Amino acid sequence: MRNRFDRELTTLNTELIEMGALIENAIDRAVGALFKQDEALAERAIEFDSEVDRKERDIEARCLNLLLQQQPVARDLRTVSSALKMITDMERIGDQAADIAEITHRLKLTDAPLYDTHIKDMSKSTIRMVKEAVDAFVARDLNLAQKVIAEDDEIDGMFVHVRDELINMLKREEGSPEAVIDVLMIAKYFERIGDHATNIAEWVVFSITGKH
Amino acid sequence: MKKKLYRSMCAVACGTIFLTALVSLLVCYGLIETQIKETIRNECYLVAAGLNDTADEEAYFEELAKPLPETGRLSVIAPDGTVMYDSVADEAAMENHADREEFKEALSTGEGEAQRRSFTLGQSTYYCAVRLNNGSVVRVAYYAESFFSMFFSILPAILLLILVVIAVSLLLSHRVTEEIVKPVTKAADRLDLNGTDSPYEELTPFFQKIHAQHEEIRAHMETIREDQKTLRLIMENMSEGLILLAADQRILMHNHSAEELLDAPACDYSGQPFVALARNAVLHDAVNSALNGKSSAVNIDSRDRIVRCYISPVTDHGALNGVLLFLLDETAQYRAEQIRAEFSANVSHELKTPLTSISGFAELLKNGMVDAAQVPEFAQTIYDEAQRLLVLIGDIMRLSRIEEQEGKLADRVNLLTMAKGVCASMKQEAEEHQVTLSCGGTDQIVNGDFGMLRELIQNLCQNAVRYNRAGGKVAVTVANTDGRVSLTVADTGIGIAKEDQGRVFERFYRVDKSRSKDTGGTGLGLSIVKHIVEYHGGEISLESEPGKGTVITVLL
Repeated sequence: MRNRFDRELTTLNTELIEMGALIENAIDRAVGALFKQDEALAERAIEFDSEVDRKERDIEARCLNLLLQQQPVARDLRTVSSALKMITDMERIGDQAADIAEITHRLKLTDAPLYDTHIKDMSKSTIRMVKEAVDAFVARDLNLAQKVIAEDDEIDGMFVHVRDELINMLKREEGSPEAVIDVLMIAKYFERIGDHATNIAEWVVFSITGKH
Repeated sequence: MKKKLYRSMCAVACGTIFLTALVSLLVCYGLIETQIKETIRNECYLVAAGLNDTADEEAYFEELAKPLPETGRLSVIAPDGTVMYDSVADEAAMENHADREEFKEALSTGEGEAQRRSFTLGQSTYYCAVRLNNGSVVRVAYYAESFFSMFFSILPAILLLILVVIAVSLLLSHRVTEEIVKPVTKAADRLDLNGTDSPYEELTPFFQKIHAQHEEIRAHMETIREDQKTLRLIMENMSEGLILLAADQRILMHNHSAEELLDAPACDYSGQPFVALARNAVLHDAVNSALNGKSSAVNIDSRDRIVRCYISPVTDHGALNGVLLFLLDETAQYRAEQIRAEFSANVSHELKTPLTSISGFAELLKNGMVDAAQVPEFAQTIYDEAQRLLVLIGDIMRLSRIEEQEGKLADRVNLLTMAKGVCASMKQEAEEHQVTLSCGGTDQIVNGDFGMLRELIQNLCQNAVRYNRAGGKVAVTVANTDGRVSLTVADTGIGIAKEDQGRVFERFYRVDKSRSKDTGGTGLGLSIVKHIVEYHGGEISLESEPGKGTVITVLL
């Protein structure tokens, strides 16, 4: 009985890592599409979202099965419940990656402000954060998880910075207002992805220590 | 062993008890029987003698019957078989005894004996009959227990005894087994220490064999351990990443370099799925195709690195049972390739530009399309461009010469004197750029190549002057820091942006991408400087802030 349960937990773990891989690749593609202005890549990044959704449903079903059939307690229950919460955050990251890819369709790099500097930095930081959050889960690394949580402030700071600069641009009537709004949206998406990565890291901390 | 011993012990003991009981019973029973027969015969003759002498039979019988025990019986039978007297039953009711064996025998021979068994009562009855003088027969009977009833009566005792024996043999067998086994167990414990000691002589060959095998196994284990250690050392110390996957993509083996190259946090990945170690889609596609038997090589971006991955299927006798990944850090090669490509593009561009103008002006002259008044001007341009070309080619040749040369630091050079000389020779150029050139410091002697060192200082000063602003300053300082000779050229010029700082020493790299010729450089100056410094085994460092100036320090 216990053996079977352990096997199921291992499979759950593997699937979570696979979902982590999916969202990492989703962001990579979305960001790649954004900076290379590659519409085909953007299209693929958007398609990726449905794969992420499917994975979420699979893992959700697996978790519910585990809860109903095995009635785990203590640490096992923590593992399963944090998995349930984690996939929600991962799925949101997938959605936001798709949203970023969608903007690529209408935004031209040439008239988009702050692209080369701030947005690029933000994308790098968020990709790094998501990777580290998944890494922390894989390695059960408490320190790495806490580092991710700390990094969120950095992304938040970047977002405020981008916002201020965009406001100034509007005031000075530089660049097209549409592009400014789109860039603001992209920055916001990155900021949200950072938040979700933080959540994942927090669930990693919870599943290891049992404390929020 | 214990069980076997116990069983045989029990069987022997029980069998012995049972047989002894049976045999002794049989012997005893025979003795008892003989004795009974003897007794009743005597009794019978006594009674017969009495009866022959007495007149009043009735009174005699009465008297005789009294002391007879219940097991005995006395009867007198008439010659026709009618019972005349019986000490137990009523004689009138008794049947005719004419056909009784002992009676018939007594009648004919004067004495008869018989024995009858009654299985239902479990008794044997012994009869003895003697003929009286008057022709009638006196008979004495004796009831005794039969052999079987006797046997059954002692059976409970036998069974109890057997139970006791079973219990005792249980205990005993336990003891004995322990007694036998203990030395063997002990010897087995000491087997790896002093080997061939055997507790019983009979076991010696056995123990010797075991010891020999033991030694053999230990030797094998040692070899295996050594092999493993070697393999592990090789794997851990190689800078290339190595990963071995099972057919179900679980990680069987990996080394630390693999973790590092894939930018994965350090933890034990053995037995974990491959996706735990790397989540790169390209790499996973390659692994999947390797699982279909196709090897491939891919480049992946891992943080700031370019990692080349060779992925091959692992087959054993034609059956696929894993995937082997070999990871190489190719960042340096990749960058070097980029730089090389850029260099060829640059060198052709640099050479082509002056040649184009030379060729263009020469063509105009050849076709006679130039006024005579303009010819000197055109000739001047052609001359200037040709000069530029010569300088450029000279630089390239010098550079490759420095790169090829072996270090021969034959000259002893006073760096301060040399710096002062360079500054003096550059005075005019500095004035043209409206830059103040100053030189100071202490006398420092270094071993080196005179020509190269002079060129080094000259190139640095030239750059400091050319990329300066009007009214700027250039300060050359020669000093001794921490036992090494340092040459510092500081300017208050335009500075170098952070992203360009790492690349200014590359050939043809120019911060100013428009390649404006107003500064007159070839783009090779700092590259030559760097090579000269390396030639002298020194170090060069650069600090700069755009708009404020640049400080270049050379440590020799």
